[in-house]
Amino acid sequence: MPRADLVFQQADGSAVALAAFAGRPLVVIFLRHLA
Amino acid sequence: VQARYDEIRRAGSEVLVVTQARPDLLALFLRDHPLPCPIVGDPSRQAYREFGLGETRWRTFLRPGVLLRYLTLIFRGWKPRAPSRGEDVLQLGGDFVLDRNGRIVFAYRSTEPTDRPTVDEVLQAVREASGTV
Repeated sequence: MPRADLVFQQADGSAVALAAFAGRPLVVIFLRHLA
Repeated sequence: VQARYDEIRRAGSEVLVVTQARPDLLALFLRDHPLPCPIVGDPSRQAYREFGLGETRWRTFLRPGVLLRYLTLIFRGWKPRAPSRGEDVLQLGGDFVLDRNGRIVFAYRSTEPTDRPTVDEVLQAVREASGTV
C-alpha cells in the first residue's frame, strides 16, 4: 500500500498529496518521461 | 488511456498521470498537450520508488521487440523527443489501480520501455475496485 502522504508537484507549482484522490478508485499511470 | 478516459471515469475511477517532470516543464507540456485528467510531477522519483518501479538498461532499447514497437509507434505518427532536463531516460513506468482506501489492487510494472498493460486490463481492475463487475 503506497503512503498516502506521498506528495506530487502540480504544473502551477503547488503540491498535492496522493491522499487527495482517496475516496474512489484511482488509476495511477507512471510515465517514463514527458516526451 | 486518454482515448478511453471517459470509459474509465464511467467505471467509477479517476486517473492520475505521474511524470518525473518539474512543475515548469509540466506547465509547458500542458500548454501544448492539454489532458482531461490530472498530471503531476515527481522530480525526486520518490513515488516511482514507493510503487516499486525500476530502471531499464541502455541495451534494452536495442532488443528487436522493443525496436519494433518503437518503429510501429513512429509509423503511427508518434514523434520521439528527448527527455526533458532532469528526467532519467532509463526510468521505467507502470500502471496501478488503487481502491477507494488507497490499496493497490492492480499493479503492472513495466519490464522494458514499451511494456504497458492493455486498457482493458486496467478497466477490468477498475470495475472490480468500484464494484461494477
